[in-house]
Amino acid sequence: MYLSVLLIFLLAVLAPFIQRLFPRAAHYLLAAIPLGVFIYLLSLSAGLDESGSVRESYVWVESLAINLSFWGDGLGLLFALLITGIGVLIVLYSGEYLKADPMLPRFYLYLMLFMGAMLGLVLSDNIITVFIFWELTSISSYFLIGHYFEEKQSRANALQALLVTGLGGLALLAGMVLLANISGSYELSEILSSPAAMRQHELMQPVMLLLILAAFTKSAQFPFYFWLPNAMSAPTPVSAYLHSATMVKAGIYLLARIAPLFEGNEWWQNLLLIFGGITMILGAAVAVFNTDLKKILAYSTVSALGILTFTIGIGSPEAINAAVVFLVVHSLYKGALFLVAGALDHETGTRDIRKLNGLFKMMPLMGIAGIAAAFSSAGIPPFFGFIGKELIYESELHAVAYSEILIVAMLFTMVLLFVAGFNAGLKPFRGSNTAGFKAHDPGFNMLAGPVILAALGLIFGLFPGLISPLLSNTVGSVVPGAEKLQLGLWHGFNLPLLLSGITIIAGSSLYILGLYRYKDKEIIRGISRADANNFYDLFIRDLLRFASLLTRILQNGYMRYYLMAIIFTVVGLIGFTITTLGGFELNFNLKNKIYPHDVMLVLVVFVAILDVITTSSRLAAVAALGIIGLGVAIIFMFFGAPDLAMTQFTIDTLTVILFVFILYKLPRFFNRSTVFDHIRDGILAVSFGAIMGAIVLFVLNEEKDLRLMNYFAEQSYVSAHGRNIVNVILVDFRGLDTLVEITVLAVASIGVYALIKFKTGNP
Amino acid sequence: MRSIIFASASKYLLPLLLLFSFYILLRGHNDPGGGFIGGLVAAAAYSLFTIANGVQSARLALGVQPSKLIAFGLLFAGASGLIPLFYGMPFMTGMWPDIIIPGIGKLSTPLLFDTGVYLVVIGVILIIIFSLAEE
Repeated sequence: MYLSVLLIFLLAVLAPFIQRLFPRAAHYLLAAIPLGVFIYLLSLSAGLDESGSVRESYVWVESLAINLSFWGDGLGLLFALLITGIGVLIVLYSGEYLKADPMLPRFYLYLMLFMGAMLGLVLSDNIITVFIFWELTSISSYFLIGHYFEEKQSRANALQALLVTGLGGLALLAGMVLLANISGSYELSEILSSPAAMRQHELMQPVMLLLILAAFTKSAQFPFYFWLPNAMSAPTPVSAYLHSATMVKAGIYLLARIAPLFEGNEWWQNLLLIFGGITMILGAAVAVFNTDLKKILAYSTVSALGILTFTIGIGSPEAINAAVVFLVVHSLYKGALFLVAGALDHETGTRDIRKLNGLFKMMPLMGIAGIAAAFSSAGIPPFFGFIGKELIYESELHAVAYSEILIVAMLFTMVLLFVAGFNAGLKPFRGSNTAGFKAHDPGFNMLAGPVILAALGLIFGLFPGLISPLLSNTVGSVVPGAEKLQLGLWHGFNLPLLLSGITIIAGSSLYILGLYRYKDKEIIRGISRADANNFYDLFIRDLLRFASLLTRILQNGYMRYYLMAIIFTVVGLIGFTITTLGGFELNFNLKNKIYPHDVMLVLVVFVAILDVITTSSRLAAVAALGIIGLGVAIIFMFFGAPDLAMTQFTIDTLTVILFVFILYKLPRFFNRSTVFDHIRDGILAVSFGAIMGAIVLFVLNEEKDLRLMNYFAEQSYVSAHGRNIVNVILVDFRGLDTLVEITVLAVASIGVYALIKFKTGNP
Repeated sequence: MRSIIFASASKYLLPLLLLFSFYILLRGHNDPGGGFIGGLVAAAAYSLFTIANGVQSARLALGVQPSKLIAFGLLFAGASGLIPLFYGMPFMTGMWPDIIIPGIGKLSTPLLFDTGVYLVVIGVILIIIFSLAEE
C-alpha cells in the first residue's frame, strides 16, 4: 500500500515529462501504473475476510507521532479500488478529450497528484497524514477546477472550492487532534478499536461537530454545497472523477469511518438526517429544472451525497449496507453519465439538453452507455441501481423513529433523481436530430470509460455475487460483526418493491412532462437563488473591502506616519509598563567618572540637534545629523566598544552620502509643517528620548545576569578560536541570526532597487 | 561640481581603501573589525569613487554587478553552514582545518561566512547607491 501511494506520487512528478516525450502514447503509460495498483489492491482485498485488515507502518516524524502508516480494511480498500479503477478510465479519457490542450502535461501532473493524495487519504492510518492527504486533494482540486485559468469565473470557482473545503480541512485537523488526545493514539485503527470507551468522553460532542463540519464541506452538504456546481468549470473528466466519483466522497468516507464512535448518539443521527435530507431534496429539485448537462449532473451528485449522509445517519447495520451499495452504484452511473456528457459536449459543442436530441444514430455506443447509466440511476431492474434503491428503502422502513417521514423524503428525492438521470443520459439520444448536429462516436480512449462503467452497472445488477464479498468486508469494517451481505435482484413482493414501482411510474411521468422547460418560471428561479453562494459572495466581497480599508490606513505611503506609529507604540507600551509596575527610581549616581571631554562631546551633539530642528536647508540638516551620529560613535569609543564605534562611523558616512544622492532629486520645501505639527513631533520626540534615557539609567542600576556574557567570554577563544567576542558572536555563536539578517538585507535591496527603478507609469 | 583633484585622489584612494577593508575583514576575529564593518568601508570607498567619477566608471572599477556580489555572498555564507553537514556535524558548526595561508591566516568556515557577509554588505549598498546615482 505504501508503495502504491508512493508510486502514484512519483508518477505525478514524471507525468508532464512523459506527456512531452510521448505525446501520443502518454495516456497509456500513465494509465498502466494505476491499473497495476488497482489489480494489486484487488488481490489484497480478495485475501481479506470480513474483519481483516492489512497494516504497514513507517516511522516518519517520531517526535510528533506522525507515521506513514497505512491501513487497508474493507472501507479503505473499497474507496481505493474506486479511486484507482475509475482513475485508469479517466486518464485514458482525458488523453483524447484534452488532446489539443497545450496544458495537458500540467493537467496530468495535477490529476495524478490528486489520485495519489486521495489514495493516501483513504488508506492512511495516521490521523495527521489523513489531514495532509485531505488538504492535498483540496489543493489538486483547486488546480484542476482552475484548468481553464484564463477565464475569470473559472479562477473564482477554483478559489471558492478551495476556501470552502479548506475551512473543513481545518475543522478536520482540530477534530482529529482532539480525538487523538481523548484516545491517546494517533492511529485510526487504534482509536477505533474501542469505540465504546470513547463514546463516554465529554469532548466527543465537539469532536463530532468538527468532523461533521469537515465532512459536510468536502462532500458538499447543505449549506456548503454551492461550491460543487461551480466546480463544473473544470474539464469534464475532472468533474467525473473528483467531483462525483471520488473526492466529494471523502466526506462520506470520513463519516463512515468515524460512525462507530457515535453509535446511538442522537445529535449525530439528527444532524446527518436533517442536513443530509435537506441536501438530497434540494439537490434533486434543482437538478430537474436545469438544462445544462453538467449542472444537472452536479446537482444530482449533491443530491446523491445527501442520500449517503442521510443513510449513514439512520445508523443501523442495514443502512450502512445500503449506503455502501449506493456509494458504488452512484460512482459507476454518475461517472458514466459525466463521461457521456463530456463526449456530447466534445462532439456537438453544446451541453444544453433543449438542443441535444436524437444523437443515438450517430453515437450508438455512447448512447448505449448513457442510457444504461440512466437506467441504473433510475433504479430500473435489472440494473445495480435497483438493488441500491431497494436496500435504501428497506433500511428506512426498518428505522426506529420517523420511518414515514424518511420514506416520503427519500421517495421524493428518488423520483426527482430518476428524472435528472433520464434528462442527462437518455434525452440527448432520443427523438430526432432537430438541431442537425454532425457527430460520431469518439475513439477507444473516450469510449472505454463510459462503456465499462455503464456495463458494470448492469453486470453487478445481474450477478451481485461478483461484488458482494468486497462490499461485505466494507460493511464489516464499519459495523463489526454485521451479518453477511446478501445482494439480490428479487426479494419477493414486499414494500420496497412497491416503493420502487412508485418511483419508476412517477419518475417516468414527470420525465415525459419535461420539467426543465419550466426553468425560467419565477418560483424555480427563486429556489435556485436561495443559495448560500450569495452569502459566500457577500462575505468574500466584504472581506476584501475590509482588507483594502485596513491597507489604506496602515500602508498610507508616508514614511513620517510609519515612524510616528512605531515611536508612538514604543513610547506607549514602555510608558504603560513603567506606570503599571509602579515606576522606578531614577538613580543618577553613576559609577563612571565624568570627564571634561565627555561634556564637550555632549555639547557638540546638543548643538547639532538644535541645528537639525531649526535649519531650513535639507543639506544642513543632513550634515548636522551626521555630526550627531559621529558624536554617538565617539561615545561608543570612549566607553570601550570599538566595533560598535567603527560600525557607527561607516554607517553614518554612508547615510550622509545616500542622503546627498537623494537630495539632488527632491524639490525645494513647498509646504512647511504647521505649528501643530511642530508641537506634536516635539512631544513625541522628547517623550521618546526621555523614555530611552530612563531605560538606560534603569538598566545600569539593575543587577546584571552575567551568565551569558561570561559564557561568551570563556568560550570565545576556546571553542571558536577568536578573541574578538563581538565578531565571534556574529559569525559563530549567533551565526544563524546573521545568516538570516544578510538574507533579509539582500531581499530589501531588491525592494529598494525596484522602488527606485520602476516608478509607477514608468515601468 | 566635478573636481579634478577629488577625481584623481579618489583613483588612488580606492585601492587603498579596499585593501584596508580587506584588512578589517581579516582581523575581525581577534581585533575590532569583521565582515560587516569591512563591507561598509569597501562600499564607502566605491561611493566616494562614484561621487568623484560618476556611476559608469564606478561600475567599471567594480567589474561585476552588485547583485552578483549579493548572490555570491549569500552562497558563501550558506555554504559555510552546509559544509559541516558533510562531516556529520550540525548546521553551521565552525570548522578549522589546519590550512594556513601567509598573510591571511588560518582558513575556517567562520572566515568563509564573514566573507559572505562582507560581499552581501557591499552589494546591497552599491545597488542602492548606483541606482540612486543613475536616476
